[in-house]
Amino acid sequence: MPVVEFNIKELEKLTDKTLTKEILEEKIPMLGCDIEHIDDEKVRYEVFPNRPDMLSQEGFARALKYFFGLDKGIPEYKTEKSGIKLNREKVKARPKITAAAVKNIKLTDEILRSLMQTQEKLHKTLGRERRKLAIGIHDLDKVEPPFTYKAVKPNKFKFKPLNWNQELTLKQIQEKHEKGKYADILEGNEKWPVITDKNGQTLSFPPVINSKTTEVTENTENLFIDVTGTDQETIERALNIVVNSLRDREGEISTVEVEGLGERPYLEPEEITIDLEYVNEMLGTDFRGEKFKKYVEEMGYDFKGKIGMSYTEEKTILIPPYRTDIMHPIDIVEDIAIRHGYDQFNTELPTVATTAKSNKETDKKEKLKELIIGYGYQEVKNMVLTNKQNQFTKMNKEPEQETLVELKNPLDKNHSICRNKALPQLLKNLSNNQHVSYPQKIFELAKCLELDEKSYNKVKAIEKLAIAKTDTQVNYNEITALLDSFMKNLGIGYELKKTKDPTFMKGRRAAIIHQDKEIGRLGEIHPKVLNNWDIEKPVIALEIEIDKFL
Amino acid sequence: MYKLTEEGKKYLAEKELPEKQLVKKIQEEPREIQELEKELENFDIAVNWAKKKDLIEIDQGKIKLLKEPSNYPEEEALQQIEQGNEPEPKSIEKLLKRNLIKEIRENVVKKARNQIEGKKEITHLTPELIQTELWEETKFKKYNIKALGKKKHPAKKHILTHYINKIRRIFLDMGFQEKTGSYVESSFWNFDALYTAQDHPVREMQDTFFTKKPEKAELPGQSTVKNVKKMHEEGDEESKGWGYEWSEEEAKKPVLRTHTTSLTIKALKEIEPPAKIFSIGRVFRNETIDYSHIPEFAQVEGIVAAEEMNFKNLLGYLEEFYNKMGFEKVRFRPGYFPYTEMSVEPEVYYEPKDEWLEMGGSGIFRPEVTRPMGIDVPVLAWGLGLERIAMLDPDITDIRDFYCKNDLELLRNKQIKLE
Repeated sequence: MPVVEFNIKELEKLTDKTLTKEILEEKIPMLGCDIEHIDDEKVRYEVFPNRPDMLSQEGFARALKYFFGLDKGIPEYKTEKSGIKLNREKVKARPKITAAAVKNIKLTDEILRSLMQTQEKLHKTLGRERRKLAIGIHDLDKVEPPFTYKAVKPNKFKFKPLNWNQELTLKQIQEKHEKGKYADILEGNEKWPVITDKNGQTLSFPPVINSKTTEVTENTENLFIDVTGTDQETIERALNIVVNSLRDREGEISTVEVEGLGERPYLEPEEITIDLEYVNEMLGTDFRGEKFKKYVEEMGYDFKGKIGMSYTEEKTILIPPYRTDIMHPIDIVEDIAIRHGYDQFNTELPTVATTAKSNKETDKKEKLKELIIGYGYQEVKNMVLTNKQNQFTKMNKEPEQETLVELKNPLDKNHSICRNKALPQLLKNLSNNQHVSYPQKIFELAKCLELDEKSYNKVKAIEKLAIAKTDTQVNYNEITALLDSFMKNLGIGYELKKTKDPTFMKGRRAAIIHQDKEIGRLGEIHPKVLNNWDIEKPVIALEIEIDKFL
Repeated sequence: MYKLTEEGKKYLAEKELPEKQLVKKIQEEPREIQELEKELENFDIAVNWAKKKDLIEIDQGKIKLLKEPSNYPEEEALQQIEQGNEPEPKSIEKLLKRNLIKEIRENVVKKARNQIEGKKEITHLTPELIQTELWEETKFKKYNIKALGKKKHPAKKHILTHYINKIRRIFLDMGFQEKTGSYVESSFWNFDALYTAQDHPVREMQDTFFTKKPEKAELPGQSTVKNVKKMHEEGDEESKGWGYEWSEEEAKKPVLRTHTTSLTIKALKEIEPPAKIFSIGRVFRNETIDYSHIPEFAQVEGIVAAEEMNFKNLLGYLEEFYNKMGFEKVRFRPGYFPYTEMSVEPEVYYEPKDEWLEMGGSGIFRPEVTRPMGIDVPVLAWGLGLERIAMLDPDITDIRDFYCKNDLELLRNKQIKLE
């Protein structure tokens, strides 16, 4: 989740409230964000993905003002038509665009920094690293409308990008410019998008970089904002978040006529109907009348019409245009719960009459563990993720490629497959514990994975039991005696047969057969395997499938 | 060599065999069995031997003396054996039969003698010395009573198993049903059924492990898939949905489950409310390993699906659980998960550090999650951390101690809390 850094003084200025350490640490997280870091100047919060409007310093401050009861309802937007027209040609690589103008803004260093952070965080989150949306902010006075969104040949079209002194083609930008990597999103398209003005001046090469011409500085007074992307609703939302932030900085929102869409930004609030009974059923409360009204308005919403005292009323609620997350009445319910304060709810443990039922397999496994612990073996737990080196090579075996569950994106080379055996990791444990007193006797009940065409998920889990003992001297017959006692205690018949398993020593190894099927192996570990694991004392071990006994 | 048994020693000490005691009681006149039974400790043995020796007769509940013997040779023989002499073979035979003496073989006696002969003190008390009672004739070396022998360590269940069993017990006590599921799950059950949009960042490679093999999982029955697809694409009469084109191929991608919610959502399809389900199982996240992170850990999962469940009930279950785990103070913070609304992060107060600790996630499933599964009652849900509770133990400073190292020193010596 995105972490956003705010200047505490700026937040205080924007909210008109003194923000003590206690408020910052204890109260603000109750609005729905986790505090990550705080010092005298700055505070960092993790903003939840459902509130991209809080990614901007202004939006965050706005949310605080409502939460502290210092503001309510949806602001009144006095937008004027700017008269700017944005023409569109067909842009296959990035089909959606929207735009706005913001006039008469006084950009300070802090506002600029804040604006850049908003842009960057929106790119990362809502924008999915600019794939879904990218925002361009320009000095409107450096170019001349109407503007045109069009597709051009990346090898031919040239302009001077931001932070660069020469003209570059779009392709060269991709190769040379620090932001060039974002052009990868356009890869596979013959033509790439640009925004140009009346005179052919370039404003932007979305979603990669703006032109140097329209660079925004502290002297900029009027802004042109474009948002491009793949989904119209998403880019409109992002635009609303940006213009609302600038509005909070005393900028005047002016609309731009986007060809085929009309005047933008579109700031009309959306409506949602909510049933009071539903709110109170979900929360276990009896909010109504003024209290209900207060909570709704102090989360930034408005009502359509009046609110009475009834519990069963259906109300139409207006959603402010910067809120992008409301898709179901339950989202309003959560906001009401947040406004009330999660810490203000009494807890209630209900009586829901159901019968307890433990998982039988888990119960049986616990019993098996007790039996093995009775032989003096300590339970260990190992990771499911491992690698072929440990599972096979070190065990003196060839990888069993065809049955292995393998990761597409391994964590690293040590964690690239799911284990299909339990014994290798036991040897790893022994290798890691050579400083500890002997004898060492350990076991694990491990869920091992194998590919399986018959299962819906193409994988089957096999429960395996591995047991290992190491000491200055070990005796092969001790492991057969252990198996024998174990099987007799479970009342399971078995026999031992010869095997050629190279993990174990010749003449000191056997396959465990149950109902004519091999279910495991045991023996004294081959010294080569011990050398592979850097184990300096002999080891006897067994591994056996126990699914059939569960 | 012969030695008196416990019984033999007893009669010798009493100077009277049981039958002799009986004879004395009925010298004057026959007496009631019931009375004699009370008076004689070894009544049954007395009657048995008195009858064998034809000394008595039982008639109408009374015992009558037939003749009084002049002597009891067994008593004399016992005396002789006690003094170390050997009585005549016939007596020995009789005493052996009556289990009043036992024979100790010559080689045992010899062995015992060898063990003590010429030694002022001996170290070991042996079976031979005990049988022959020759231990009386020697002295035993004194140990340093404070010295410890070779170090002992118990074999135990793994530390995490103790926590898991404790938690299982808590939920079973509260009437929950335990479920398990598969480590490898389709994206459909891990994400789509939980209303996590297909372009949500959590579904990217840097958060989630996808598998190369298997390459594809099967989707469930068409109606479930259709319901989920519709909810993502256009919502229903209540919800707007995410509004994008949902891909079946994306849903088929297998992942290592990132939460056990993948199994509770599946269970939702099968249950009839009211139902309470829990699960404790391993989950996987693409996280680099360090002292506090590990790509595998256990999650404590639970759902309650029933009429009239509400937010306060969710908080109630969470508080009850943590109280039972030994945390007296529990508080709740807003959280965010794509599949719950309200979303709650429970925190517990940890006194030794004077700190509130985040314990996991919880909430009420969004209607977009439950409705496609055919559930129209509220479903309370939580997925809580197990290791972070275990990590509060001051002996455990590194999460790798759990699954990677298996440090035997730690596992063996970890104190067991008896509670």
